[in-house]
Amino acid sequence: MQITPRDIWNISPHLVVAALGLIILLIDAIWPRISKRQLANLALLGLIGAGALQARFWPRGQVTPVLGGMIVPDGYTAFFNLVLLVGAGISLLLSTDYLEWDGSAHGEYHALVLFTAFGGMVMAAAGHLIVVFLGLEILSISLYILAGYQRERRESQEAALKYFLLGAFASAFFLYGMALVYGYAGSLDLHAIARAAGAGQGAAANQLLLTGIGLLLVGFGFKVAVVPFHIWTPDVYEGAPTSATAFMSVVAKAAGFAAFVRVFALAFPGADLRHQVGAVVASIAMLTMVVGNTAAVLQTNIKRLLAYSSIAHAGYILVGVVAVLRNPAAPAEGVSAVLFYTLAYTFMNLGAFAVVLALRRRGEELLNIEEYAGLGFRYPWLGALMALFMLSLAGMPPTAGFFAKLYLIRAALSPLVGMWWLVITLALTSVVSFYYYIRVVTVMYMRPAVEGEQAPQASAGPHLGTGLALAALGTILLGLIPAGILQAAQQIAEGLVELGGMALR
Amino acid sequence: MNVANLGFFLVAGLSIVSAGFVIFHPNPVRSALFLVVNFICLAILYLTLNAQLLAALQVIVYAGAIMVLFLFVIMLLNLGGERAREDALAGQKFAGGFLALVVLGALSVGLYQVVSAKETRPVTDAWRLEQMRFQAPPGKEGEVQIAQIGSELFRNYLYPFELTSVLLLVGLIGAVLLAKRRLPEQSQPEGQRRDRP
Amino acid sequence: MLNPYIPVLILMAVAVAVAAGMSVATSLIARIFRLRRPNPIKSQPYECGMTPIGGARVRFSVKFYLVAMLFILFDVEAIFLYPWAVVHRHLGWLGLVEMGLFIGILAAGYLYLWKRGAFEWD
Repeated sequence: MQITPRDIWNISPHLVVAALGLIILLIDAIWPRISKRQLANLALLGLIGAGALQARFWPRGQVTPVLGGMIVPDGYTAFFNLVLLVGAGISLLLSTDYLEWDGSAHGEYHALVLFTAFGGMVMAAAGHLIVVFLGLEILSISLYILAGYQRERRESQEAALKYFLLGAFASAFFLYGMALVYGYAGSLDLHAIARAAGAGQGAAANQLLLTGIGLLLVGFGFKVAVVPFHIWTPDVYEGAPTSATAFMSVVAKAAGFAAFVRVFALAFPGADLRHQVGAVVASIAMLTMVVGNTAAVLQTNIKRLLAYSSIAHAGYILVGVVAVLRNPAAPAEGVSAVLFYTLAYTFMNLGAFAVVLALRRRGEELLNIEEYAGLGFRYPWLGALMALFMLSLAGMPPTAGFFAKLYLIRAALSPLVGMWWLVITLALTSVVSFYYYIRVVTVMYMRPAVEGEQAPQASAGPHLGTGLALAALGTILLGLIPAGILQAAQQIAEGLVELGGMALR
Repeated sequence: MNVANLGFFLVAGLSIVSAGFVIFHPNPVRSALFLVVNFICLAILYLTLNAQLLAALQVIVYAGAIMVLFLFVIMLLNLGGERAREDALAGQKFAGGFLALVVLGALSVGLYQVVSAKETRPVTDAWRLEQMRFQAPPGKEGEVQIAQIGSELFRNYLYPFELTSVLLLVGLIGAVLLAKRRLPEQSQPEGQRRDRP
Repeated sequence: MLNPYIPVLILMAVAVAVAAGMSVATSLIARIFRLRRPNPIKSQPYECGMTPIGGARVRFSVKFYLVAMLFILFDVEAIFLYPWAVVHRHLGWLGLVEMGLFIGILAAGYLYLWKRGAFEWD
């Protein structure tokens, strides 16, 4: 295989992010007295640079794989890489104040954020299951470390241990699935798998292939936190440093779904096979929406609430995946709905965490939802933004969350999908979700504020303020002009489908 | 039964016996040492399958590095005493045995199906290529195998190979950040968090 | 199929035979010729002439954990050198650059470990 400058250009955003992680790690180790704020600024600058490079591939990119089929620099990759870069950037903005307050601002934090983003970008761009796996591992191991980043807090240690043990188990499942798929297809290249599964008579009844797909599903399901692979989520979200929780909630989800949808949309053609896998994914989706939303109702801790809410949102996105799998006529519609949802989720979830990160009470984090009483009047801006994010997460029109759900429903409603009960579940559980999202808003605006010593304090430095503003801007813009983004998403999705068609030729 | 078959059954039997000792020996240090025997048996089995590199890796990584970690953890937890420990959960042994039987049954059924099945696997270009690539001329097995894997790894799998180094780097950071007792002082102020221990 | 390994097997057999033979032979010869006059001081384990105190099993310091982890990580790095060394002539400059990048990233990790004090015993 020859390496051309063109190949390097195609993966340049990856290289920038990885190199920057390395540079920050070394700068911090060699000059330990450097201001961590400067390191964060450097990381942000690099992310913007990588984003600018990546934007050159928007929205179509190049559909032929490079580096021996390992990387596909198409529009789909560009979209998810940009989502990941935006997610990492806003997370870095949110974390500087928090880490200083916490007294644990080391340079490793910024380096790990960049490596996580790198792993996610590799996953999104992968055209080969080995690359998916390596990206998954780089992402996961960085996240385990970030979860245990506050070494003195027992909760943080517990979170890291739980996440690591279960995550390693899930990786093993994924690897085993890869091995079985390799046994079936003789290759781990997504196109080669597609050719084998498309050519093989009775691929839908082949136990080797089906077991392999099932195990891959477990691996992805763990990473994006869907029921029944979600047990770790609330404990890890609660125990991890809040800034890391914000980061992992969006980046792991975006990267996980990026690889999930690409692998399942490309590698397993054949209507029978897709129908069968789609049914399994549909039942997982239903279970996830029901369990996530009912468990969220019972939560009193805002981090746990957002954890269950993130499970519920993973369930919604799975509905889009079902639409991709079960609608052979227009799989692009499902893909574009997933793309839009991931972007919207990134903005609104980071926004909600930004508000949590800004609040303190008597030198502690303000995590109990009851303690948000009167916040809406004490800090009108913060209260209004929190209300915006909560309503958007719930799916109130005309916010980003509403259009995201609308597109999902539209994709899943096609008669070819034949899953009206899934759409009904989505709608009903969304109604349930209104209860717990709106409860946060009512506590903020309807309860009398506590004064004096016990009163909550808000502090938003320039970094956190910028992050909060960006998240709010994204949420509002996606709500006001969803059509533009959707159109681009559709174009990208068609590119992906075209790629799938090319694979079979 | 020819000599190669005899060798296989010898090594396979030894690996099963040593695996049994790993589980049932009351002294954890000896369990760990039986695990080394098991790893080496597996390495020999890999050799009989003409997978020389894998055999070498099995010895270097598992019998070498992973074993060091195992023994270290045993020493760290001071599990040296030869006493039968109570099971933490009632019925744990029963449940574990039951699950092991289930897995054994499932694997047997799967194996039987694979062995007895008619060819359902598609014979694709990828498969044919794969078979061609890993067939060495007789007499040159060892050398050619590793060279083939090498040229695969450093040509087609170049990007995954470089990714591995990043993965190892992240592992290094994790080891230091989570296991190092005291990190050197940095410029950061103390932090105002009050609920720190 | 296993022909190349027959010399290895023979060597192993000889090594085992020599080791076992020597230990059995020495203990047998000693049994024949030795005097047997045990006393408590003789049967103590030898510890440089000091009276041994406590058991031999002491709890290891957790600091060894970092050493063990770093050993594994660099061991895995070394593994990649093995197939590379076999084919590096065929790979040419590309192979050198590849391996340089790989080792460079891990050397940066090494520098990080060093500067961060991971090799210090505190």
